[in-house]
Amino acid sequence: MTIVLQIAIDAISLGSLYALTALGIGLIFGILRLINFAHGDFITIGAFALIVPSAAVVASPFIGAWPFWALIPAIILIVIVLALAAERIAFRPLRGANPATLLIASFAVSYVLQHVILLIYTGRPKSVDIGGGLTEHIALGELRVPVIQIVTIAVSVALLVGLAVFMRRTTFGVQMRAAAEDFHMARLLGVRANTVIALAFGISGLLAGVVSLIYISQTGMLSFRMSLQLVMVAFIATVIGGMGSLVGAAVGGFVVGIASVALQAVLPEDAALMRDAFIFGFVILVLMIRPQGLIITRAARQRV
Amino acid sequence: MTSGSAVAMGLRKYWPLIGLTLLLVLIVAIAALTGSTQLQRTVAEGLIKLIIVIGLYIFIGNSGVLSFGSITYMMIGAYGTAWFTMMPNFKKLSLPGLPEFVIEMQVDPMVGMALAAGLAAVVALVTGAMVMRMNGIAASIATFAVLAMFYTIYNNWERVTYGMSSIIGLKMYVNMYVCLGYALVALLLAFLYQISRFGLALRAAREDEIAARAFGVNVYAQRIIAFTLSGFLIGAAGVLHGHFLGILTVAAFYIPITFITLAMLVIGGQNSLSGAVIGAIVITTVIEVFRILEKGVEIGGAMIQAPLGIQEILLGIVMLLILVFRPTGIMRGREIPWPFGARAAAADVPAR
Amino acid sequence: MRRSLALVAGLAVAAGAAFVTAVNAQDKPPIIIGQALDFSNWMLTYDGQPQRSMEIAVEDVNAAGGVLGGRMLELVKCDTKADREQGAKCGAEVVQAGAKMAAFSCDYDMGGPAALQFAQAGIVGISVCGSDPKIGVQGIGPYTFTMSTAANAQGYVLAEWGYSRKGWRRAYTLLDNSIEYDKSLCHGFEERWQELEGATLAGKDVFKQDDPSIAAQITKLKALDPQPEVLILCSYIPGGATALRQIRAAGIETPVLTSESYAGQFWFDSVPGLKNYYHGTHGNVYGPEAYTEEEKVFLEKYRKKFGEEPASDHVYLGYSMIQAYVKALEMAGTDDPAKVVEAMETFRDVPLLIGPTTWTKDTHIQVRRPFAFFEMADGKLKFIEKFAAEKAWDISKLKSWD
Repeated sequence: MTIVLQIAIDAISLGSLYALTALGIGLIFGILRLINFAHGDFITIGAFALIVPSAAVVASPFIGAWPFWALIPAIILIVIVLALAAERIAFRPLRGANPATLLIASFAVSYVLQHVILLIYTGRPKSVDIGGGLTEHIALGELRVPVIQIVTIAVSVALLVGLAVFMRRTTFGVQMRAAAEDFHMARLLGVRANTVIALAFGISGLLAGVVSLIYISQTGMLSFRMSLQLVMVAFIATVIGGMGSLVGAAVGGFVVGIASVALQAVLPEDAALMRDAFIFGFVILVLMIRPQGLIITRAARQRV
Repeated sequence: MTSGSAVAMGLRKYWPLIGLTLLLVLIVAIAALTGSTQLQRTVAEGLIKLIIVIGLYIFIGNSGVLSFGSITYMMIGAYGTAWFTMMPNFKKLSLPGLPEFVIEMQVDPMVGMALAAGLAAVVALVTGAMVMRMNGIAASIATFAVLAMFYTIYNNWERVTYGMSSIIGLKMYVNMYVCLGYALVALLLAFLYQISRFGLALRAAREDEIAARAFGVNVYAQRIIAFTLSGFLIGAAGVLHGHFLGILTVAAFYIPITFITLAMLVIGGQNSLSGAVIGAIVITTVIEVFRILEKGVEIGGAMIQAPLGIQEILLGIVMLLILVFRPTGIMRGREIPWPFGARAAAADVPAR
Repeated sequence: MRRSLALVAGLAVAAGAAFVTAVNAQDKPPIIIGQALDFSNWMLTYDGQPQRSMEIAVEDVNAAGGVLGGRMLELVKCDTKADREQGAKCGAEVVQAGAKMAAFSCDYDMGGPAALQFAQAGIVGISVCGSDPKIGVQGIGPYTFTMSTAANAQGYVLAEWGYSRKGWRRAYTLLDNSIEYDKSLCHGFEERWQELEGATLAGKDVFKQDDPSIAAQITKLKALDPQPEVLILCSYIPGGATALRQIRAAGIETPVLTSESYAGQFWFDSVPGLKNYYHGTHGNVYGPEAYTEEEKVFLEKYRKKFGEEPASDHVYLGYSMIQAYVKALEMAGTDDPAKVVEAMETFRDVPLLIGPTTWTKDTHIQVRRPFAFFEMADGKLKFIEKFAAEKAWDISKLKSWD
């Protein structure tokens, strides 16, 4: 029983991380039909901001050495500014372009960001330790749970609830939901495109910043391609959940996280090598049964 | 109408094909004249990528549906040629999981090419039949899931693919001229498809799916046809890749090559064959120019050298700039214009 | 007058001598050594150290008057950018520059395309730190070598050391199955471990380099009863450090043993308060108290030239490569690759900076070179000893499918 509970906590904790990432991607996709491949690099740069920019083999902490009340807002702010800058410089001129163009543009942004990191910090992975206390573990009855897992789950739930309230109760939130469902109609009804889109990128940056912090507390290592896997999984999650639906993105994140932990726990070692093949097979299956994803928005249903 | 003008009409109809063929031949001729093996290798590499981009174009350009997963078929083609053309002794020792008749066979490169690209096409047909039931973005992501799935399987199917380890010993017969030959065949196939009944039906569905359906176009079937042909060409590119490098690794067939080839297509302009070709040429050239700059060039006695690692950053910026100024790609969905006669402008309408 | 005459004569002789040496130097073309390595992308982490130490070795050889009667060594560089096509192009490029020997990337899969170009051109190719036995005769070709120890053999030495020096009997392997090196390492360890009297495998599991979390694997590990006495981590940095951080965070304090791919101390910040950590690798760059004279001299030059400590022991491999090549040149008396390869294949425990090196007709990789072992003490690696496995890994097992 203990082990089942433990696996459940592992699964929910990983699912939370995927859900937060998926939400950041889903938000932008919903409004702009842009699959923002550079979202992962926002996360990476948030993490690299923790150390002094240098090619030195041993990294020295920079923002990472600040007290947490300064560190957390500083990292989140950096990522938000980066996300807004990317929107202004790369994506705004392309507004209205077809999804393929947008995708390749986000790929180009990602490519540039990665190679800037490579140029400044070199490709050698760097280490940084933030949230020292988070690597401790606490006993819950028979369970010994790492604090980081509890923090991950708590932060994700808080952010999801916060975002849900924002979306439902504030004017901006309602405008964004309207834009996500039908951007064209929303604009006709007086929603200001620039504001809503900038806001979406800001929130997406905020989510990426939070993911940076959680991810680094968990892994302790930085490398220029550290977020690739995370973002790939988050894309999948967004699609499974239902493109354009924010609830769907979060649900998709949890589904993929839980599925991969469950498979890892259940599969024998030889088959575990093929874990990802099972996960992607599952994705194809879900898409075949429900091509619009698990949560279907009204706008999606109306399309042919 | 005189027979002369009929010839001119025909010429004009086939002009994109003729023009692009001349362009590729010209590039290869220049590379041959310089005698630089480096340049010839670059051109060969570029032509292999071009075949992939043409393959992508056949499906993506004509259907309007993005495929993130087509590199799967490149991998299948590349491993296919290893299975069919390598020495039985090697296969017995290293790839014992292959069926007996495959272990025993050793065909020559041309036959290997046909079999391996054929295998890729068959897999494209089967996976396409699953994926094309979906619409738009779901289909796109599903193709990526196909790639990720095959990638994982090939990486771990040690007795058949040698797992993560490289397969060495493919005959290195591929050079610039071989690549040119296959690139021209790819060009021809893509063009003939595009002006065929099938290509036209799929293009109609791209513009307006509901209307196309109303006219009796079976969109599902048309997409599968295009996807299969696309898989065939991309599989052929995989075969060339294997025999060009002489070494095969599963890791080569994943995200970086997927994105660079998609970027070539989109930057050139995904809605025309000329766009696909121009995109591949432009990006290959840009990469090579920056690479030379990184190595250092002497201009007027002064050595100009860009810092190592700047090539990729500049490439990304150039790609962004092209997209910002030409969101529909360099060719804007048109074929290369007919250069002769007063009615030149007429050829400048968007491709059908 | 006589004095001035003598002076003039002396000057004339000196000038003549200078002229002769100048002619000699012109007569003797340099020996070109290619470097088809990554200078700017992620493989730089592995290629960078040997690449730098090759430069030091070339300076040393040239300062001592060159080889083969005064021929100087000259390096020709080409940046492979951790890209296979670019690697092949670099291979062709350094061949065209006239290299008779060339170095290629650490990783067999990344370095392979360049190595194949060397093999095709019939020049000697040496991997700076590739640990895959398929680099040599069995794979790329008869002119291809590596400075490193086969990954399976590394597994052997880890197994024997843990068994005999630490007295461990129950081992658990955690394999990051994203690269071939780690698979061979764990495979080698498991194979040798199970041959040792009384040693058992408590279990094994897999993860992937870029898994954000290995919580599921940890939960399985914690459920074992009895717990293993040692964990073997077959992975590399950064994912390997991440895995270790999560293992320690989950309260598992079992001793951990790693190999070459965890080289360096730069990642220690990611596992705060790391204890019970053991590391076996090619050589010692971490324990100044145990440096040999040669190591001291080399490290001094390295610091002077690059202004920092070497990041990992791979730095010795590049220097040793030039040492080995120069020795083979002298044995062969020519730079003809066929003769040089013949000479290299007669190497039996030739003392290089990295340690005794042996190459034979069918084994172009080390299978039993001593490994340097370290333990974690006060946040740093502390040198314990150099240790060679009793049993050499048999390269003919390369193609066994059991």
